[in-house]
Amino acid sequence: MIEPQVASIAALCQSGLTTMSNSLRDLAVELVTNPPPGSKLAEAKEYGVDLTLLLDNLFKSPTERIRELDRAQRFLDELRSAFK
Amino acid sequence: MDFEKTLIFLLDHEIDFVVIGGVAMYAQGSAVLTRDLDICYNRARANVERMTEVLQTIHPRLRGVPEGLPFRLDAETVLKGLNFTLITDYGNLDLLGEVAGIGDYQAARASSDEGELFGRRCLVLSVEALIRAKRAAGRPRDLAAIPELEALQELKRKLKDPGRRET
Repeated sequence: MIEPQVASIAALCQSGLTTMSNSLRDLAVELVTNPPPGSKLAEAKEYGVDLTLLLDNLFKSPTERIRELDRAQRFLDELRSAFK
Repeated sequence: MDFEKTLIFLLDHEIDFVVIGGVAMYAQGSAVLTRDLDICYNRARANVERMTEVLQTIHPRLRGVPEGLPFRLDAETVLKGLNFTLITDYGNLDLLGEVAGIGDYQAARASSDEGELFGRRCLVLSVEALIRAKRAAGRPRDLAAIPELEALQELKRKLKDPGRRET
């Protein structure tokens, strides 16, 4: 059973943002949804890391990631100035 | 802060540097946001001279010091110091001569991944080295980043070599 959030990420992958093969995408989604017990992924999930965000980022190129970081910064700055 | 503009500026002026810190983490796939660009720069005089000369055009000032404090970012200043926390016309830029747990530019370069950013070749500290750096820095916020980086490292490893069994 794939969580809805992960399913939406899987759908995003289908839009051609990545060259990852379908089987690798399925593996990535499975690892994030059900991290193997004792793995670093399981430890991180237990710690509170949202693994779906990592997956989302891995489907982007480094350039796309930095552009997203810029957009997030601008949004947070606007939000902050709105509540001054 | 404009990370794209700053990175393109540094890359197009052929400054020798490795992207480290939060932007390196994000470029590698982390989801943790950051507000400054940290780079480890090559302290060879020619690079420092080129770097300080081109940075003048985006008006570097020391961050977190009283307004009006005299400061000029030139090669002599950089070579006498090591790390500089700056604000420029493009945003916050931290110049580091050394990275905790890694070492100087040459060591950072050896621990980096070379990839394409904005159509240019760029060196970004590897996930493994970011974990080492965070562990060496040792502050609570650095240590808090390690579980995510370790998960990222494992995820990348498993996707690169799906048949590999973890020990």
